[in-house]
Amino acid sequence: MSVKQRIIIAVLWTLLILAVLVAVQAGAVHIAPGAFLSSIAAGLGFSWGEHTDMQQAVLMVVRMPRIMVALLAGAALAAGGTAMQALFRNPLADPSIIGISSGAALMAAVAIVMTHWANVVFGGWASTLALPLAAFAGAVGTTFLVFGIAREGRRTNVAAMLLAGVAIAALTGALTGLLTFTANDAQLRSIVFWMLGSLGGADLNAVWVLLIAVPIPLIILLRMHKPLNALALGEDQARHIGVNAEAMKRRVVLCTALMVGATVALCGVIGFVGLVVPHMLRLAGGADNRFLLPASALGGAVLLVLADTIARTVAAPAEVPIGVITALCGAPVFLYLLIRGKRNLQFA
Amino acid sequence: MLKVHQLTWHAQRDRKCLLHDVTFAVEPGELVVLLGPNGAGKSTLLRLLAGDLPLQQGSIQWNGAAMQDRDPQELAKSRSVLGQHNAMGLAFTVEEVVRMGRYPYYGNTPAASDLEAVDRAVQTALLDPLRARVLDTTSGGEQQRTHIARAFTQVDNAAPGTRILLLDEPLNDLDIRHQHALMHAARSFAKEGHCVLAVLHDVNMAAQYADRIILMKASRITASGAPDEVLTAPILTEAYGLNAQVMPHPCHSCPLVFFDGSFRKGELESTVDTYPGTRDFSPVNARDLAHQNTHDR
Repeated sequence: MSVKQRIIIAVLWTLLILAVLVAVQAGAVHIAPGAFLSSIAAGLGFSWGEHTDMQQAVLMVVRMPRIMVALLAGAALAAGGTAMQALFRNPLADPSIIGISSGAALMAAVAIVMTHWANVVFGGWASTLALPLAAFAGAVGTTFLVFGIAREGRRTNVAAMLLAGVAIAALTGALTGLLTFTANDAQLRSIVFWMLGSLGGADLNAVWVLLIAVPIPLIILLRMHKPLNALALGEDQARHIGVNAEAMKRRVVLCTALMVGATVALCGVIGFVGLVVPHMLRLAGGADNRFLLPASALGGAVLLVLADTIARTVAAPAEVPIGVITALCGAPVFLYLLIRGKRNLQFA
Repeated sequence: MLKVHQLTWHAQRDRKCLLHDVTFAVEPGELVVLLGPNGAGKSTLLRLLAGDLPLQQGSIQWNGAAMQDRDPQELAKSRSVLGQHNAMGLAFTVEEVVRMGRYPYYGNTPAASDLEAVDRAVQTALLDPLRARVLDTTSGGEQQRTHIARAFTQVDNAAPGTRILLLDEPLNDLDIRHQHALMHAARSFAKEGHCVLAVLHDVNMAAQYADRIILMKASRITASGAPDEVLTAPILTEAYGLNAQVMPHPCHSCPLVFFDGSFRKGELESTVDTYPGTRDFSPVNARDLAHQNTHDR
């Protein structure tokens, strides 16, 4: 990595720590950095510094889980976006391009509309588990459907995968629209809010789910920087330098579907992060995935932690949908970078 | 060494025969040039050797074992391919693209030897001032030189054994100076005991640099041998349908070929009767030419 790229990574780590400190202290119960560290120490069994029981409880039960979810979800969305852009050799790709969001949205809408019946049949636990499970199944199922359509014998046609993703998104979008048409007012509101994304449901269980679903696929993707770069030369050319193009395509799609699918299942559809974070960092530090993948994961985490902090404080006690915040914060920055850096932009 | 035995290949779409019973070998130390008109099967042959197309009939032996059975990453260290390239789409720099040629050699981080090899290739291709430029913003010739540097750095290693460079129309977009620089580099690579197989269209470049020329037409090898054996007026006139004249090269001991621009009788109706540059294509000729071009690749 070049010096410039190392500096960008270091800056992103610093921003990440600052973002977490800001997120920890902001909210109805103020928690200063000292009280934060003291609570963490107490949680680990040490007695150090000062904090109140209230602060400790809010931190451990409410705020930390939410920050952890934001970190993991942001990293998954942005790194997934980077991987999709490399796979499709197109800077406009993001995880939704292989049907992850549209499939999850359809199944989430199904779950919301059917919750009443599920509660009757399976009892109360169904309503809490049904939505994330259905959304995850929708995300991964749609991805495999898109991937399956793009298979030609033993190889995967990436152009066909792109178009299949668009077609499936249109189809699931229509079905979701049909469901909103039949939904009652409360269900309609749930569906719309779910599609704008929220970290409001983030608890310790959500942290555990994301700790299982995100880090392993993320590390596998980070280690695939060479094949992802090589794919920019073209599939044949990548094979000539020893890359197993078919195996890597399968692996990239699987890893992205798992980590982004789990994220979408727990947080709803959070647009913009997967498209814009990699794009901004590419304008800043170049396209080499050895730099871009880790930088995007960090940048996505920073963006989502800050966006969630704004989402839960700006209109407290109400919550603004986080998808609105990510677009409102990120789009102007993106436009600025675009206008400044458009000379270096090239589309195939 | 490379041994191609009775290779026959039909297009998957319309079963058209693109290669028929092609047999030849490239010995260590040899630079072999494939010549022939558009649609003769040169690129199909090279793509089979590069592993882009599946084998149908016949065999390709590389250093004593079937090419398609080899481990892709190990094969990449002894076989490098310069193909037709496309725009990258993403903003990779010249240096990053050349470094991709070292991917078979390192895991997560390039070793010092890899960076040295990249430096050597960048210097040889005179790309030093362009290292940090985004490849898609450079000229066609500069992009071609970048991919040439990538292909050379991929087989730049100290391991024993024969290596091979497969070059598909490597002179595309290059100015005369860089054309000769590339052919010099390819020849000195071959002289180190390796193989080079290049598809060229420039008959005189082939005459000057090839150890051996294989001439293809209509999916078959029609002539093979030293430049002065293959590059004769009757053989070339027959292969290209264009009247060829051959004379000794004024500076080198090789033939010098030129085509006066007149078509062989019966090949195209209107042969040159005025200055070739001002001749209008009749609709018939334009259609014939378009038809010929559709057979390309």
